[in-house]
Amino acid sequence: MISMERLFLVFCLICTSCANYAERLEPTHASYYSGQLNLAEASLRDLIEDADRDDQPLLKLELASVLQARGNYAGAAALLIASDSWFEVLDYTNSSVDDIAGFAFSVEGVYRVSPPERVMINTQNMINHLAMKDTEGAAVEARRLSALLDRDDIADDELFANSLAWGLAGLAMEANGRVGEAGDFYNQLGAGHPLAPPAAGTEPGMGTIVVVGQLGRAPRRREASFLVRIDGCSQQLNLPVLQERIGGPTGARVSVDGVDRGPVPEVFDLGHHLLQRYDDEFPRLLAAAMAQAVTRSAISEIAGNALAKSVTDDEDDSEALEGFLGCLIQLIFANSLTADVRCWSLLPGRYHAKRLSVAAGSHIVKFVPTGGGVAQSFPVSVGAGEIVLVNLVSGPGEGYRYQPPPRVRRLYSGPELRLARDLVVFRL
Amino acid sequence: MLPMIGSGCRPKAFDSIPSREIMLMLRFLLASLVIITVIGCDPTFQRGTDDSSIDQAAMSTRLDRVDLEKALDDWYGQFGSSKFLDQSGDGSKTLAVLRIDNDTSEHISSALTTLISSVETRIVNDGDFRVVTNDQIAKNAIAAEMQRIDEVDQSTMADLGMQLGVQYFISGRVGDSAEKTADARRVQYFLFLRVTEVQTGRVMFQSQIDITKQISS
Repeated sequence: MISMERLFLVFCLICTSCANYAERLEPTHASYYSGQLNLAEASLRDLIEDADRDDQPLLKLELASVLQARGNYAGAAALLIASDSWFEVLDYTNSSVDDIAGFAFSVEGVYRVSPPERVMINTQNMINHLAMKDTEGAAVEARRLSALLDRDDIADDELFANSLAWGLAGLAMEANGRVGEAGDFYNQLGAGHPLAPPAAGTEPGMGTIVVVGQLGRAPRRREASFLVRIDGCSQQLNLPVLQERIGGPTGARVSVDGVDRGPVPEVFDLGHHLLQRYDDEFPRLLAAAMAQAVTRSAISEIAGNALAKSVTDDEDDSEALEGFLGCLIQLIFANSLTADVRCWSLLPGRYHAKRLSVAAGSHIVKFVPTGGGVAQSFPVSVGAGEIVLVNLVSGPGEGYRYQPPPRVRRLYSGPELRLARDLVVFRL
Repeated sequence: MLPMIGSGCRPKAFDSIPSREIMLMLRFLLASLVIITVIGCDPTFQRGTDDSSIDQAAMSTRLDRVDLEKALDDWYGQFGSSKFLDQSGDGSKTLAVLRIDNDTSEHISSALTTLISSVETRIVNDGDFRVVTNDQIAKNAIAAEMQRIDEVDQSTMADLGMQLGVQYFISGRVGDSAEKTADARRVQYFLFLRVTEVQTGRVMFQSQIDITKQISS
């Protein structure tokens, strides 16, 4: 006879699987990209209130993005200042298979940011402080960016890949009157970089307006199933993948007081950078998933066997149940060990920026995204020798369209699989 | 060769685990989940007047009230026993506290503003100098002039001092040395405050205050 208590236990086990981070954030994305920023903020605040402590820091990064898009730079800055010390960094491109297995396939524990996300905390906060004309706060963020160079968990190449960050750091120091420190940052920029100061310096009676356009959307992590053949057996593995997101302007132009000042050049393609990194991450993620699958399969089989025997004492019932529960528990384990798809999902895909010299006084800066998005005008007051930043986030005007997670993919051969197999064999 | 995943690769060690123990483990896990859900946690609010220890605890590597009080006490201890105060602090001279530049990697500007106000308060209450606080524009102009480092135009400074009506001003900067290990972050602050004579640009008094904060896990 099967007891109700034991069936309830089985039911509870089934219920452990729930919506992942990307799915929980979908209503926020719908509001954000539809331009309903108040709803996006409200839904994020609800999520933060309901979330466990592990998810709150990451959700607050998302909230900082929404607040910045709403022009609440002080609110966004406060969140990012606090978040500077919240996160540890985990780099899937060079971490051990065991470390990746411990974090990439567990949604438990505080999210560990990727190196590009860590750099973006200081980058976004320089934008916040400069937009508020808080040059001292921007300078602090520039020093924090510089301090990342001393850390072992972020490669210097990763830091220098983001020339927007170094350009903003130079601007922050220059705006704060620290010419020498500004020069140190500007030296990291290539020749002719749009944020580099003019060789002749700022003319008397002139100020500087820096326009920053955050266009499109960075790819975000989703869960994808891969069918992998290992020694003749086909296995399904769930991996976090980076999903490219469609939509958004292709470029932007800027005008000041109705006079066209030309296109705003791209200074950092964050989306492309993340996708390039993922090419290096993928074999290690695959290896970690394969290593997890070995353990998972063994445990679920044993548990299924044991549960079947305990649910009923009848010999025939036990045999009948064993197969069914074994499969059921295997399914539950497979679902509960889902890929960690947490990431800072409201970051833009590309950053465009331009430095404009203008006469001191009041101006109207018009930012016109090309190929999608909505033009926006900003009244700007700039003093002689002053640097003022104008920030446009095109996301809220780009429109929302649901993108389903990627389908199951077959991965029966290829260099990634060979590298992953080598990594697993090396680990064993 | 990779291990096979499936019925053929079941480790023998697992066969020895009795089913009753597995059931007990599963029950324990379920019970723990229920207890954690039911108990929950409400925030607790406290007043510093009810429990003075809450003011003492360091919550971050930024500067808090205890740090600012220490900085003020240290500074005034040195300033109070200085020759400058002895010779010039007769209550007839005018002085302005300009600003303390934040050269650190910490967002402590509001704490530094508080420190400036505390320094002003202490000097006003002691009556050694007449403190000018009402012309922020002239103060900013002097501060901007000072920031030119090697190119400070002393005649401009003197003019600005006349405009502000001060003979001395106090200014400062705070720098830091921040280091991080796997489980700790330490910030050492170095606060420098000096008194400058507006007319001549001479530094009449300078002091250094060191504060260290650490956060560890």
